[in-house]
Amino acid sequence: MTAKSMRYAAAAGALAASTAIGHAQAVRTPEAYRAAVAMYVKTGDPAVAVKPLVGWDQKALADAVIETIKSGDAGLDEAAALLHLEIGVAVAGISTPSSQGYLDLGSQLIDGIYPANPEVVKNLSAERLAEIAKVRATWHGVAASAFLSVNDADRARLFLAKALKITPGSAALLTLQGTADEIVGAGFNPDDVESLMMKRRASQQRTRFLLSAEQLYRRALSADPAYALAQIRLGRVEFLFKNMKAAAASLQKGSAAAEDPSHRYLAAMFMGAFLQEQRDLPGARVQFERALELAPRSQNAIVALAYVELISGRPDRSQALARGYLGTPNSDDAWWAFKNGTLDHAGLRWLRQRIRK
Amino acid sequence: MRRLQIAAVLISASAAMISADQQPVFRASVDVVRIDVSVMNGLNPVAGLKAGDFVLTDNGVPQALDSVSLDSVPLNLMLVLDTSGSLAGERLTHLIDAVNGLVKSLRAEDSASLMTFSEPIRLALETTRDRAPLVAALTGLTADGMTSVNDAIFLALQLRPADAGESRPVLLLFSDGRDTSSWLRSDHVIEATKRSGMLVHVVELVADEWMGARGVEARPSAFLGTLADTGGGRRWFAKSSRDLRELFGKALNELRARYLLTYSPSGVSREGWHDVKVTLKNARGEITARPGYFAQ
Repeated sequence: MTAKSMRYAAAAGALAASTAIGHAQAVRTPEAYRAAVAMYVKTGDPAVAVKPLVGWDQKALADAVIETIKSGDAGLDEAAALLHLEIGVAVAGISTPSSQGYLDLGSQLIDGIYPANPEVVKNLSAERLAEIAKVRATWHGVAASAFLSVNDADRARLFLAKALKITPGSAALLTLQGTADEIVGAGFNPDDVESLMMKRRASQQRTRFLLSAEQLYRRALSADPAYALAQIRLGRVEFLFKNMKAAAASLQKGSAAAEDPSHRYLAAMFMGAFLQEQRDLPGARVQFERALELAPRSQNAIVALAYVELISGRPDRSQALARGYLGTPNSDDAWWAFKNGTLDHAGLRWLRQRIRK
Repeated sequence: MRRLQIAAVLISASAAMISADQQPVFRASVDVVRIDVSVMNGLNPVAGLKAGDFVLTDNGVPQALDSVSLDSVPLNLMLVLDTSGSLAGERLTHLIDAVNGLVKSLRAEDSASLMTFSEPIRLALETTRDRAPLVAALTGLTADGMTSVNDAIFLALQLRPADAGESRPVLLLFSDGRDTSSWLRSDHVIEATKRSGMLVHVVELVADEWMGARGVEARPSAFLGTLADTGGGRRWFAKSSRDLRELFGKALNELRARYLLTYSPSGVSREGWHDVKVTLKNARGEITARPGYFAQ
């Protein structure tokens, strides 16, 4: 388990602990299940709501989910799906198979808000259909992001595929899919292996996933040219492919479009790396200093800046940066979000707000 | 095949007198190159060599050795330990035990510091001759997270004392895995190693039980091999964490058996990369050392 997933687990401690299997006293009926969902809607607290479900096995849960969907109450389906999402997110850092168990059922529930009867669908307004699509896509996107945040790109892809089937032109989802490809591709590092054959194989695999990521970022930008994160990630991939002109253009566009400080930080880091590679060391220094202003305790920004100082012939500065940094806790959330993906907090918040209403 | 590599350290030995109001009133600088050299005959160190037994060239120009010393110079040891998630459990216990064994074998005049890394890198203990805080810091280690070995090595190299005085700065790295989370690439770290002048030893755990469980054949890291070569040190492999205590002991013994060659460069330009070659003329042995040094 990564430190990051440990942090997730800690944050979701009570909820995760509540989902332990083996409680003998649980009443496993659809009514008990619906009561738990109602409790969640009432309190907004998944840790409280999940208590009656402690000890339920997968079959009991699945039966209750089927009964809930059969009821045809879209509001109940959505609330239950969100409760499953809350549990799935909470336990992802502890057990991804267990998390997937909750999320697979949640996926059925959230898809249940789309009426099974075509006659009913015909009578729905375009706005309602768009709303249903947005809820389903957001739900699946959050589920995917939960797995990405704990480095389980394979499980993330399962949910991304469902989300993209609902809204194929979502810039955010396409970018998330590209991130999953980048994460898988990063696992193939030719520098890590000694034999030429293995180096070639690792290089081919890495290229394959990076190419796929590149295409996904381009599709995201076709859907939304102002989507800064896709632009920044595209710039990074172009840089890794040594398409320097394209990398510079993308990073500049991404930097200009970025409003989120974490995106501005990433743009500065990657622009710095780009300039460093071009031997523009003063330019690289400016970018890394900008990144440090945005994230003053960023280990990566410190390391990047210290390295540029070293190769610029200023070892004293490099040493001072290292000494000033070590011993204090880092804060590299933006970097880990880039590197490993991160939970879609905004999407989860939006889904919660709907339930509160 | 004879392995010939040279290690060198460029030291700017500065003398400074500071007045009462902390204003420097005098400063002079003399460049001295120190080359940390291991001479082995098979598994055994070759002892008793004198200056006249070595031939050293700096960018192809033969140099006069000012001094050769063996063993007597105190160590300034920077322990850089991987505490990523793959070390959790028995492996960490064995690692702590191994490093404790090494700490106990240090001499009173030796100093040591401790850096640990997973994703974040932490200077757990500044350089000290006091063993108690070192042992306490080791006892408190926990393992989790990804592996930022590249960035950790880089930061450790930057902590090299500006003036090591009479001690020998040595970076002793332990890791069991590939980098998964650094900013710097391995070639950046190699460049930084060239510029640092620090002797770099590596103890690598290449254990089948962990890698094999993930369907990956355990293989030594190509990067860590290059790192040890560039840093003029050696790399030891452990197939099991149970072997770590023995390997750390070997690393320390090897450090004790090294020669420190010292000279003032003459007949060569001052700045840039210097290729250094050391050979033996009156003795037989395999030399391991840094392939050169960077002067600026």
